[in-house]
Parts: sequence; structure tokens; C-alpha cells
Amino acid sequence: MDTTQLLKGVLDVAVLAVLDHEDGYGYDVVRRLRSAGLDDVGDASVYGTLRRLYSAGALTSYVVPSDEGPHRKYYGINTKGKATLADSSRTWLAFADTMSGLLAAATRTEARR
Amino acid sequence: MTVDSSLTARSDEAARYVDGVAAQLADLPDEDRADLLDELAAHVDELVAEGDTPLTDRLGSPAEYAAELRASAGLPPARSRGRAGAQALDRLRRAAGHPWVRAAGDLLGALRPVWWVIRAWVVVGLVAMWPGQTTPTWADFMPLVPRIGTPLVGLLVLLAAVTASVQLGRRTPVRGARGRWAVVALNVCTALLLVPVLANVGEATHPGYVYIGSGTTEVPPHDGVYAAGHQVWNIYAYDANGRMLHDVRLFDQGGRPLSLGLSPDRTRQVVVDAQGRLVENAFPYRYLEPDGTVAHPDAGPTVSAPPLGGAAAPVATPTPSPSASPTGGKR
Repeated sequence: MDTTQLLKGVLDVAVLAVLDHEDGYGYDVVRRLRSAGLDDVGDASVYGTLRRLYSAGALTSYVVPSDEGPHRKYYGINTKGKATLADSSRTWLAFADTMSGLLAAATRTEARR
Repeated sequence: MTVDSSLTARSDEAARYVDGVAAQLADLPDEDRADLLDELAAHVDELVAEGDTPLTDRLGSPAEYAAELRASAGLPPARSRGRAGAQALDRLRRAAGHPWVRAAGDLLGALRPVWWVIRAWVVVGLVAMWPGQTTPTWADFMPLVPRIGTPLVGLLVLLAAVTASVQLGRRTPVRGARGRWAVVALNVCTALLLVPVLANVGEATHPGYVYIGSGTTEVPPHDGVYAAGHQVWNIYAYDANGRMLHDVRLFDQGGRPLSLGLSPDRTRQVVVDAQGRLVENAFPYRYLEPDGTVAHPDAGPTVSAPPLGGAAAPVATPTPSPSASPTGGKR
């Protein structure tokens, strides 16, 4: 199954989870999502998601100057973001539980045949 | 491939990519667009720095990137107003991706060091050509080597300039935007000045051509005397009293007998001196009749030579030149 479709629904919570762990700039977030196993995440999607979460007031942002290379725009999670993350996590875990149960039942049925 | 040249190619690639995305975001408010593009520029610079995957492989085409960015950022899709321009740009970008266009681009890229050498030569050539130079501009043994005082100094200056130019070329991609514009300006200037410098070399290596005003005119390389653009075939001299003189021997400013440079002519009367040596500068020339005589020794063009007034009038007899002696020529 193509995970890009699944990602669209969960990218917000995934980005919030990454930033809840530690502040990061766009490419840093992309790398952390990928190393966590979300290989198909698109760079543009992550930057767009960061932008939207920031506009929605779930993230703070600050620029870190750098001597070599461009300045980096870091994002951090704020109280509103943490609340959104907690809420989304509950929803996702419940949803995942439901899906797991559904798929486990299907697998057992498959095995009995 | 050297590290420098690969960096060059990708920095250009990064700039092109950001421009491509910028074109797709043209309808957004300036502030939003600037934010998104700043982040993108930092991002592609980092991508370029860390690997050799083409940006379009990693991120998709600029149009795809922009669409994904808009969708995930919750921005409206591109408005139709910007569509026509964006589509034209997209077509242009696809054309730029055509293998032939790429091959041509690669070829030009590979030839860049040649340009680095040429622009150094133009600059040194201009220094050598600087007004007030009394010595020839180019070395005799090798016309492309500028002469600054001596050809050796010119050669050394040229080598130093080539080194500097190549270093500049190799380092341009990592300079800031302002440095890049300065280099572009330098390149445009040297490209324009290439023409006069080449013209100067051409002139130096073809001395038969002399610069007159804005055009070149061929100077006849053979002997002869010219007046008002026409070759002089004969010279008639009249003294202060208006009488025609015969066998007047003329010399130029260097004491050389004046030669009209005419081709040998059997019908021209031969004039020899007391020692029997041929005298070719005794004027006017006279031409023989078929019987070997000169029919009209006093014949000449219609001239207006009235007697001179003032101090010159009393000098009726021609002043002989120091070495002048009677000639044995017949009239």
C-alpha cells in the first residue's frame, strides 16, 4: 500500500511529535521523520506542514544565524501545539488500535481457511 | 571532476530550482512567498552540499514542489492569472531539460576555462594598448603576447593575469550575489573589449593597413610619388621667373633621389651623369619619337607660373645642389 496517502492524514501529528522531542529546522525535521521510518515523506510536504502549523499558532519559530551556509529557521512546539499533539495522539492511537484489531481478525480468518 | 566545478554546476542548479518554485508562487503575498523561498533556498543549498542527486530527482519538478507545498501549507492552489506565465516558464524549463540543450550547456560549461584565459588576455592587451605607449603593443616573435615595456614583462603579466582569472572563475560560485554580479559585469566588459583588442592585433600583424579615421585604407607598398591620390608620372619645374627648367634633379628629405617608381619604358629618354651612371631623378622626363629624338623639349602641361615678386625674383639662376654636376643627358 502506498504510504503517501496515509502520510497526508498523520503528517501533522508526526511533525508535532518530532518537534516535541526537540526543536528543529525544516530539513532537520525531514531527516528525523525519515530516520524514524517515514521514508516517503516529501520535503515540500514537511515545509508546508510546518508553515501551516505555525500559522495555526501551534509552533514558535526563530532564526539561528550561521557563519557558513544560510541562516536556519527553527521551529519549536508551544502549549497549543502540545495540546494538539496530545489530542491527535489519543485519536491516532485509538484509530490504530481499531485498525489493528480489524486486521488481526482478518488475518486469523485468513489463517483458518 | 574537481570539487570546485561540481559545486559550480549545483549552485546554479539550486538557484534555478528556487527561481522555478518562485515563479509558481508568484500570486502569493510577498511576505508569505519570501518566507517560503528563504527556507527553500537554505534547504536546496544544504541538499546540494551533501550529495550529487539532481534536485528534481529528490524534490520533483519546481511545479510539483510548489503544488505540494501549497497543498500541505493550506494555501490556495495557483490562481489562473499566473497560469499562462507559469505554463510558459514550465515549457521553457522542460526545453532546458532536453538532452541536446543539456549537452550544449555542458559543452559551454566545459569551455569556460578557455574564456577565463581570453578575458585575462584582453585585460593585459588593453594595458599594453594604453594610449601613450611608444613601443609596439605586441611582441614581434609572438603577436599574441602583449608587450609591456618588454615582451618578457608582458608575458609574465599575462601569466599572472591568467592565473588570477582562473582562480576567480573557480571561486565565483561560492561568492555572494554581489560578487557574482561584479564578475558578470567584468565578463560583459571584457567580451565587448575583445573586439578592439583583436583589431589591434590584426593591425599589428598586417602593417600594410593603416588606421585612418574609422576605416582602414591600403597603403601602396611600391615606390612612387602621389599627389591628391593620383600617381605622379612626370614633374615640371619652373624657376622664379616662370621659365621651365630642364634636367632638374630632385631628392627627398633623406637625400635619396626621388623616384617616380615608373615601370621601365624604352621610349623614355635615358639620362646619364658624367660617369655614365643612369640618372632617374632628372625631371621632366622626356619621351622619344620613333626616330630617337625629343620633338618638343619645352612641351609641358598648361601651368600658371608667373614670375615671383619680392626677394625671390632676383634669384634667376637655379642654386645648384652641392653634389650637382652637369649631366650628360640630351634635351
